[in-house]
Amino acid sequence: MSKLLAVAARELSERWLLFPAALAVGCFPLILPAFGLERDIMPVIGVVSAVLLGAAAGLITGASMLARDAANGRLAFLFSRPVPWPAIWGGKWVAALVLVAASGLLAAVPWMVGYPLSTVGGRHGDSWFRAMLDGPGALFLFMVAILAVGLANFSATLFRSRSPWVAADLVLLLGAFWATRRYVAPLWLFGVVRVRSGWEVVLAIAPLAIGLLAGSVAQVAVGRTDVRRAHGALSLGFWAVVGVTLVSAAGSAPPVPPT
Amino acid sequence: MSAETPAATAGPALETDGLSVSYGHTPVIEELTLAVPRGSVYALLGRNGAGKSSLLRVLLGQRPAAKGRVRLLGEDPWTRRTSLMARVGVVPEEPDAPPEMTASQLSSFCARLHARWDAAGVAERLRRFEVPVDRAFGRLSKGQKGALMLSLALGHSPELLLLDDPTLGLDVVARDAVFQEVIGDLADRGTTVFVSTHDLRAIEGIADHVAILHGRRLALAGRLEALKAERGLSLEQMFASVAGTRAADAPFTEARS
Amino acid sequence: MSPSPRIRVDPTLPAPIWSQIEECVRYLVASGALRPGDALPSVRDLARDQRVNPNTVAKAYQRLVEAGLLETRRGEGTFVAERPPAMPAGEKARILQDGATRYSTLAVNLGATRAEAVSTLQSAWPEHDGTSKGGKR
Repeated sequence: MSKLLAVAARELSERWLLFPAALAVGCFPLILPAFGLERDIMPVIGVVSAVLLGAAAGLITGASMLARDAANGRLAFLFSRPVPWPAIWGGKWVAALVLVAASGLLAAVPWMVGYPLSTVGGRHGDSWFRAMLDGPGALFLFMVAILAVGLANFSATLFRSRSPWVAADLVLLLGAFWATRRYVAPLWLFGVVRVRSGWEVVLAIAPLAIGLLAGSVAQVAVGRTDVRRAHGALSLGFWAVVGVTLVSAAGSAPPVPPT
Repeated sequence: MSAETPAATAGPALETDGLSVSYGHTPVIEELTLAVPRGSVYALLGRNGAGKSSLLRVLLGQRPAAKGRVRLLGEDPWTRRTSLMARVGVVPEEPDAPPEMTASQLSSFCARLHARWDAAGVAERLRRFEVPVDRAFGRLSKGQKGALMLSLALGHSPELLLLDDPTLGLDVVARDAVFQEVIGDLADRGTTVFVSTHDLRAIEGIADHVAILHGRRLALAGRLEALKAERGLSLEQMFASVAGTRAADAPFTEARS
Repeated sequence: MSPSPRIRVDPTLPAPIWSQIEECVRYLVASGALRPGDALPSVRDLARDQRVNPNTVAKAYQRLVEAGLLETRRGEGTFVAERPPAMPAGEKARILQDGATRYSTLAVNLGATRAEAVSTLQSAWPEHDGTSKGGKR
């Protein structure tokens, strides 16, 4: 555990600039009224910028935490020391998610101060804000954070591996889209699965998040310092999870007339 | 001095058996069979750049072998990496410490990664090497980086030290300093040292075993003293004769002398 | 920094390093550069100084201890034995010959006559009271 925290602390220190940047971006909506924008939509802009900043932090961290570190030797530094791979994986993910949350919150703080909760009015601000704070909403944000970090990691790993297997990933991606459209979308359209609550939204994107997490576990445990092997492990882990999900979704789909 | 009687009963510090290593899909080392006795200084020589660094990654359990067996202190490094790295010190060819960290930050970081860490010893080494402790790693000279990596590698008193071309790109003074430090550690703790290098002159006085790679295979291996006595050649001459005349494909297994 | 006369080795020579060290020490003792009771550099210091494996130094010292030329004192290091064994006759002659050859070559290169060389040698010959001026290299 302490090694995991040591790794996480190091990752956070390396990217400390995100914090003042988030705060600065957060202040931006506060000066917009000077340009004549209605006060009503301020909270919306605040929320949006917080979410965007959190996502940006996720993308930045995700792209660098494993793929770049494998290429520049920083991962080798850790692997040459008695640090178990779960501590490496866990430390990097914890740091990434903390950075996402912190960036988002820091970006939100200025407008929350400028527009105290009690005055959050207007249709949009009120419902969005409430939606974020309840169970499924928070989990949804958590999933989005994982997606941002995970997708950035996947892309960066693909990019750095320069392996012909990238083509396989793209083919599988297209296949997944097709399968989703053919088998999963109808479940929703034909009322088999209804988005009655936020939980179902979370459930819908959970396989993606789990796949990205599982893939990165394989990436660290099996790929270790070799970018190409890491790519292979990541792809295998991700597509295994997504594949199983799509197959079971397809399996429970009612017969669908061809579109 | 503890290294006088090598603990033959403990088994070799490092051994490989028919080890083949690939870089991507290209084989770079084939059928490597060698054994590094505990307490010895074993030099692996050869011009094979990609091969030697890939070999190091396999020895450290960071990449799997394409074929064959490798044992570090009796264990498989791929499956027992974490526990082995507590007993092994590594100085890679390319210094891999995060460039924004200072020497003192690196020492503190490593202290959190190891069960035992001799921070005072590391600081003393850095002082001897004249490495500024508060300058970012990325801004140190090549020699200072190498000295820092060596200091960090010795900080947990490893039983086995693996050095990959530790003197590459260093001037004479820096090279001497590196080897002196290794010798000092040898004298104090009887560490086993496995060094892969081109620097024949520097290693000739220190190595008691050598193995010469020619192409992808081992062309010559054994106790240095015995080889020199047999052939009446210096290490440089032996290296030149092997690299020049031996067919790259002929397999060679080290004589267990 | 070693206070004793330098022991040097050349790893590229065919002679094993331990043997070079042994020869060197024998010569230093024989020529009086190292006197009974003098300290030798520690294994660690000599190894670092000459960039050689400490095992090799230890081996040379060990052999010399066994030959009676050196002795180890616990906690203090290695010293020249108080009573080093008498040198084998052949050994003494060989070392003397070696020194004489060097001196005469030096004299000839300087353009000195034999008479000059001999008389310089005589005046340089120390009083025979055991304090031979070995002189540092």
